[in-house]
Amino acid sequence: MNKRKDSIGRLSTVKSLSDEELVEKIRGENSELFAEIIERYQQKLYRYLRYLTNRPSEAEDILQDVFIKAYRNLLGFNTKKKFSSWIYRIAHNEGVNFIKKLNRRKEISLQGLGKIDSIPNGKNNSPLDAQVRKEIQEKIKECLDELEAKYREPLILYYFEDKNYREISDILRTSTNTVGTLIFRGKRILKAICQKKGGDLML
Amino acid sequence: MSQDKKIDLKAKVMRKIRDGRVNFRSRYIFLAKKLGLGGGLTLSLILAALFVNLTFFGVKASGSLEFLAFGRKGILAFLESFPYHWILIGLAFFIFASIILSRYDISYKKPFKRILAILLLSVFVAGAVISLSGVNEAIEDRVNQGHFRFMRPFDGKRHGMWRDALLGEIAEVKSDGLMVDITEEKTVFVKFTENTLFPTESEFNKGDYIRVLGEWEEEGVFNAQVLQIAGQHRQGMKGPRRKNQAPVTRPM
Repeated sequence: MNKRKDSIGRLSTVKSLSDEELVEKIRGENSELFAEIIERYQQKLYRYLRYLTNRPSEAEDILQDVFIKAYRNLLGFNTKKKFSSWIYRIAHNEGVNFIKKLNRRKEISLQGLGKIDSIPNGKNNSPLDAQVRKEIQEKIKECLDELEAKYREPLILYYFEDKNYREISDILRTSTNTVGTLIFRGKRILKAICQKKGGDLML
Repeated sequence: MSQDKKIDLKAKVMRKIRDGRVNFRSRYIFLAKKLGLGGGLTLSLILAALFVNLTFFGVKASGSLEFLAFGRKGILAFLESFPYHWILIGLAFFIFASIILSRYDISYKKPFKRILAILLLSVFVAGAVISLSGVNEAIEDRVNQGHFRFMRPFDGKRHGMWRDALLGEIAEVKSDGLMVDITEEKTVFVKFTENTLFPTESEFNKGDYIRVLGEWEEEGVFNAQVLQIAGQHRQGMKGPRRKNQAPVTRPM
């Protein structure tokens, strides 16, 4: 009974740790805690890689490589920086490498899109916003692959991964101004693509 | 991603970690990378500044700039005699430094182009300061005394032969011209003509370095249009004059 209580206590302690604190502990010889990192990020990174590569089955393999690479390079991570940006950067690099290997452009079907300018980006958390956001996300998802990678990447991170400009800037290693410009232009191009495809939603 | 797949992925990765198939990369690798980048950046910038310094030194030593005083033809001679190789090597080191710098966060967190512009300016200023400090001349003297033989390729070129100009050391003074050593193997006869101008001096001695503008009559014979002792410009131009004519002095 006491053992179980201890175990629950330890688990809740681990859960309450920030990513960076967790990394410190993993580096301090407690490699088992890396499971918690996987737990925290596998869903998010899988989704990101799936959108980025448009290959759900391969996204899993890439994701495994991402975690292995992250673990190997954990001693090189600066805990004063944001871990999520760091691991997203690894995922981004792996995804881009995969796309380069394939050397292909993805093809998708396009359907109606929503009003991108008014898409809640996850910062407003009202249930209505969340619902609208989900619907629009689904529609945008279908259009995204028509976009050039340089616009698609920041749009995915902004609208699907809820990253702010600074985080996107760290992941893509480009200035926040450029991120803003890419998102702005990306939205405009996406709008044009969707309208061309007969989208019924205003962008 | 389904719950089963999630568990499977976590289990796969953790199994590899537990089995020791996946390990941390050594801290020393990251340290070496960091030091390598920092050292590479510093060294590239220093070398860029040194080669810019050599460019200034080359221009100063050969007196390329002095060709500009000879008008249109002088501009061509200046362009031909400019030590492009040093400035190109300096720029190559600067580009290398920029590539290293682009790996730092500063490359996207600050206006990178502005940083590069400031760095480039600093490299040129540093090069100019080293060049003005006289250290090049001191090293050159040592090289001429037989020391620092590895520095030989970097000495200020006081010899050269181009389409409209040449620069070299007088080997012999003749009545109708000068035998000028361009290199150890190459000697050119610089012929005086009716129209040859002597802006600084018309008395020449063996061992003087001279700068000549003119045209090739044939291989090994160069008809001088303007002939000047290298380095005499520092006392100021005295105006063009014919051979054996008294220097033209400026009215006070």
